[in-house]
Amino acid sequence: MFNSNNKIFLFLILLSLLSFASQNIFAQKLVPIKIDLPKAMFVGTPTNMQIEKLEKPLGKPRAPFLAPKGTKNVALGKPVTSTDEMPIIGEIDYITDGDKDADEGYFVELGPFTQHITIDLQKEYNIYAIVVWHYHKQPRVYYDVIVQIADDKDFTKNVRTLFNNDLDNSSGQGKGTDWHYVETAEGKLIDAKGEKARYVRLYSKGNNSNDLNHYIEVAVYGK
Amino acid sequence: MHTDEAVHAIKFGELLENNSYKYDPIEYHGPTLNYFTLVSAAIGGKHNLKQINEYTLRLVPAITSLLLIISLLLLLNKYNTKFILLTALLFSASPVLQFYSRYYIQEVLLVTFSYVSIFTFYKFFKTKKIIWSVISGLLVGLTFSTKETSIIIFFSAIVALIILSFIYVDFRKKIIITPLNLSLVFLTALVISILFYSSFLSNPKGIIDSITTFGHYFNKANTNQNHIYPWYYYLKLMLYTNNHLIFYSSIPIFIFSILGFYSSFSHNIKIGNGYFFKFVAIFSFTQAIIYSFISYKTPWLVLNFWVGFLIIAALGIYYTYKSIRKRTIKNMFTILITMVLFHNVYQLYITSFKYPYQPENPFTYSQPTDNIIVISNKIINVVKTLPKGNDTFVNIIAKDNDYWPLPWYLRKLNNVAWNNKVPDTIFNFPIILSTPNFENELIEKLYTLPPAGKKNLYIPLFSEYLEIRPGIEMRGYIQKDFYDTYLRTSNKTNFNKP
Repeated sequence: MFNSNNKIFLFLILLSLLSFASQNIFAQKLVPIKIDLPKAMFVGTPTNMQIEKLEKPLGKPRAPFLAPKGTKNVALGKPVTSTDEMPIIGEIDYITDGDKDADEGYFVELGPFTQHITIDLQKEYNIYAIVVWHYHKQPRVYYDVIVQIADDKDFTKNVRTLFNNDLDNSSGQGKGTDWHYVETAEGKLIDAKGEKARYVRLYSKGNNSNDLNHYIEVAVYGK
Repeated sequence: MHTDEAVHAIKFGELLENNSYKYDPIEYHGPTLNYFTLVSAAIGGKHNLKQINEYTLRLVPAITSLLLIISLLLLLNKYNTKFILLTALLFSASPVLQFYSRYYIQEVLLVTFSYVSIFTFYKFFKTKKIIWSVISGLLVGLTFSTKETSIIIFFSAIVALIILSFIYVDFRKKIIITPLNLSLVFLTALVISILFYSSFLSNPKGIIDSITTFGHYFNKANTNQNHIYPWYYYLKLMLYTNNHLIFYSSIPIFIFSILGFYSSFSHNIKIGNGYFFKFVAIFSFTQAIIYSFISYKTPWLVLNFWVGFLIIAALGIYYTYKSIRKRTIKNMFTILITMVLFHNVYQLYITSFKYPYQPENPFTYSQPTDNIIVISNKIINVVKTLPKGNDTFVNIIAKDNDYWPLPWYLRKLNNVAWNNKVPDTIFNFPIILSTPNFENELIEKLYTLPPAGKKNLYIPLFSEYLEIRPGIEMRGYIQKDFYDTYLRTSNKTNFNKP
């Protein structure tokens, strides 16, 4: 009655039925996972960042800048002085220690209103770029950021202003035309146009959160 | 939509859908905004949050500010038609009043109820008709039910009454009110306040909260670390803004308001009851001083005294015109006022229409950027193409719950989780929005928590830097296979387009 092909066919059917039955017997019971969907928490009026001429962050890593072969950070380890001799937090020499971390222990907090720091490169260099990191662990805009270079430590000889976003000249170094910017972990890159100088000075006048001034690092790329 | 507007919108949604509103004495102000929006929603046939839009909400402050202008007719008499018209023009052409008339917040309602109550009290003292005492009581109740800062309004009104009573004996006779009328004012105000604060008697605790709230707000005024500005903040706001986008100034109006203040005390006012203008002058000036010295400041609070300044400025313009004898100089003055009005209209256009959300606009405050539309449209367009559609799970994470006004823009999505930290269930969400500070933790949890074979690859959802407000970046992430579905569906759609 059953030829060999029919027997094989019947065997396969029985095997399939057995397999199906065993899956049903031994299968784990599946239940839908309840996913928690917290409701939106109501908040009060957020703080205002109403800053005119505010540049948006790039949103992507900044492309590396081009400079002559042999250019390096000539400010690394160099002495720094400041208008605030006794910073509230940290030490002035954090500014040229090469650390760009934003955590506590890596930034120096200077007093309120207009303050400046001066880096002595200890000899003249052709400077191609300056990168400055203020506090950037939260979105911050520092006001009256002015970057100058000069031949003497008192900034009386051959003073050149490389960057100035003091739009109302409230820090007294002239009315700037550069835009405000939001601090990021990449720092602010300033073109120094290959100018030759020994001293680098950076001003600031508080930020959108408070009147204090902060520096994490200043790198001066030259040769 | 501003964050505050979006918060009020979502709270209104709860009232609309669940008939549920409980006054919160700590934050979010009084109930009138929510309940009046029910009328707007009913007119539009809207029954739930997903159906309403910005028009439904903003119709309330817009109509309210229109009522403020129309209510000037309460002051109309046979001598002052031109004055009323001038005041109406100053209101209509006021950039600050019209800017905030399109904001779904309580301020325009508060200002309208308070000033119209002054107009109705004026009508009452003029006509002695009971109906005006009842309407005045109604408006006082609505003022109290709108915002806790109504206490500043009532205090300033009392100061004005005391000063005028002290200086003018005749004034004391004019403001005599019978016990019956006083009771009517008080009782009507009380009934209105009780009805609103108790959510029409469903939340009796709200009545107590409407009193205890003042403790919270006094504390806030003194201890809040946000929104702290110097005493000249409102002066600077209204008098002069000059940046690369906007030049704004109300100096002409301010000068005329000073002239009007002077006129209200030195002239024999024929265009209306002289005490009315004296009252408005002292009332507005007192509010200006109080708001200037409270360190907590936001720009829309300026409306509380600026509306009074506009009325007094109209008086200043009127009496300056009247005092000019020579016809040619009178004509030149008319041209000057016309130019001021046209300049105001131009400033209105610049601040309300051309640059309505830019930080350079003096009236914007923590305004979302146009990126909010880009972010929300991207999410909405992506979920449309996915199998679950609006039921797709989306997780939004922002430090301190600073994701507003996204809850408004994403209101049509059914499965959105709002977090202030990265939950351990994050890998269940194919679409994630997050502020950058969470990125490392997000990546770690997405790739360590699920078992092998279930670790979905996530890719960026946005191809550019996007922020919900200046300085507040929002990054998007999507499971790659979902994004592939979106791309395939979008391309199919584009291909089929003629």
